[in-house]
Amino acid sequence: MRKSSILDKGIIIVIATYLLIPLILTFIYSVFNEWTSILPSGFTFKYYEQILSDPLFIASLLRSLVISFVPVLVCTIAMILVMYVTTLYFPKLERIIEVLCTIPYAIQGIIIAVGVLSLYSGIGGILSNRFILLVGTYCIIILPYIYRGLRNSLHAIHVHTLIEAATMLGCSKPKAFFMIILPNMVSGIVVSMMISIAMIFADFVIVNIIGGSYFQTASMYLYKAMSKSGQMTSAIIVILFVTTLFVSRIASYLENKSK
Amino acid sequence: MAFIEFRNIIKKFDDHIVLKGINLSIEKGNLVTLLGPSGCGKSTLLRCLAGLEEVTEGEIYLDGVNITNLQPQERGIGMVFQQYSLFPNMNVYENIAFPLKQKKSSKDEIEQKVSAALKMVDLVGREHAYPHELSGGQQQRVALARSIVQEPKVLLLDEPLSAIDAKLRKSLQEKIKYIQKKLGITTIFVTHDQDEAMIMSDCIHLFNQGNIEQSGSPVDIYTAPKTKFAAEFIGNYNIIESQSLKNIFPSLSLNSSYVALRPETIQLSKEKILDADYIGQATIVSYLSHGNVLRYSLKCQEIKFHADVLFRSFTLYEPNSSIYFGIDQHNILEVSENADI
Repeated sequence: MRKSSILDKGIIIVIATYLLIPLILTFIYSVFNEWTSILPSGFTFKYYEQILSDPLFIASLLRSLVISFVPVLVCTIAMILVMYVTTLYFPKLERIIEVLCTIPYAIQGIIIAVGVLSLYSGIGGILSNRFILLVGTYCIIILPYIYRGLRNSLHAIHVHTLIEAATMLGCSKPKAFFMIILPNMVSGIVVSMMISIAMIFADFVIVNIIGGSYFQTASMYLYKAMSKSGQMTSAIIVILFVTTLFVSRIASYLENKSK
Repeated sequence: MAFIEFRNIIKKFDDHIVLKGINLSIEKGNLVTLLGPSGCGKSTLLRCLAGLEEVTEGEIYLDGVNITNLQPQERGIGMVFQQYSLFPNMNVYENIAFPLKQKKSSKDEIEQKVSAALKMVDLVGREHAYPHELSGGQQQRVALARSIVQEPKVLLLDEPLSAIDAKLRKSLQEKIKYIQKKLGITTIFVTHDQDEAMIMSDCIHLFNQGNIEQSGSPVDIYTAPKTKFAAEFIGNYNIIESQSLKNIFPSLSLNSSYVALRPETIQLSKEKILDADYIGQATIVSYLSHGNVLRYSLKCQEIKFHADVLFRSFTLYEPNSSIYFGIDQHNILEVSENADI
């Protein structure tokens, strides 16, 4: 293997610095009272104490986590079932599914959100429940990402020959799909789920339009905090970053465990 | 009734007819090869027997039972694929144990049978390796073990050695033949490699465009091809128009439009001292060395043909030189243009 040159290392360092500096500065800003001269002054954790002791923030963070997980889970299960049906029984439908699942790419989130709200908010009953509306809307938004991830991991393995081999060994087709194909798609499933979770977790526009004051999430809490204090805002950003990092680490751990 | 019987099998993919009424009987315990070029229908017939393709018309019998409409898992047939098709999420042991677990065999039985299968394919000690940690040859041996561990009535091998290098292929050919004879399992082997078919088979069925062109033992097929296609595919036969050969040897009496001459049956000599029924004179166009065999390209009047001689110093003739060639009557094989179907 070729030894890495100074240029290679330099590129890595530049990119890492570019990505890490805003984060480091945000953290530093959040643990000092003032940063008016060259160096910050007045080291403190009071902003973290304030945020973490605020029940509104904890509730918002939990809502963010729930609203990030539920649609991703629903959409992934639905798409796995679609893949199962198209792969085993209707392979010709795959083209149509691909087109359908790509449509949300072309529609801006705000259009979907306004459309959903105007269609369902007045209906009443379960369909106008804000949480249900949000889950449904996010399912549409993340559909292309989930579909692409699953499709790519499905195409990376010889699905048909593996299923044929399994049936020749006494296994039924549905059992073969869930016992052999699905475990080999875990990496792809986890990656697409993580991308989608991160997208929903960071969303403000859709949740603000559909959820409004009924369903306040961490990003909305952050938006409100921005007008109050810079340090507080930085501390919220750091907490949200750590939460996302924690979730992605768990996903990565589960992925490695399944291999 | 034979152990396996294909009765008038027709298979169409949309409007394209892949199998055009195949009738074929296979006896129990034989290793039979379906040989032919790509797209001739040999793999499709195998897949029809396995139940992976539905036949358009016709019936398939296995051990006296009509299995035409049975699901693949109900047929009692094992199959080894070209791409190995090992389950990537399972190690060697789990892959081989898979069919036994589907049958809900006891843990002791699974352990005993998997150990025996591993021993048979020389993979003891690799039980815990995953498919991506194995070489192509090892993967194919696992696939073989996985198929035979379920003790199928018939073992199907769909070009199992195509993706393996030449040296390893030879040792696997021997291994498959050894296992087949040891277990006495009826085996159908699909290949496009005529040498492989010659080495492996008790009987060869030569396919051409959805039909069986010729069936017979490897010796029969090699020494007595009946059609132009069989002669061209199975060996390196020279296919010559009968009339052209008659022009060289006017005393020849031929009924068919073509004759086939095996290159190794043509004698070559600088002097006219050949002990052959027909002797002619040709010009050497070129030669190629195929290991221990020298293949000469010769031209006599308008006929171009090849002759093989063992590579020795005194058999090395220069291009553009004149040479005598001799052919015996019994080596001039009359072949028809098409099979009588």
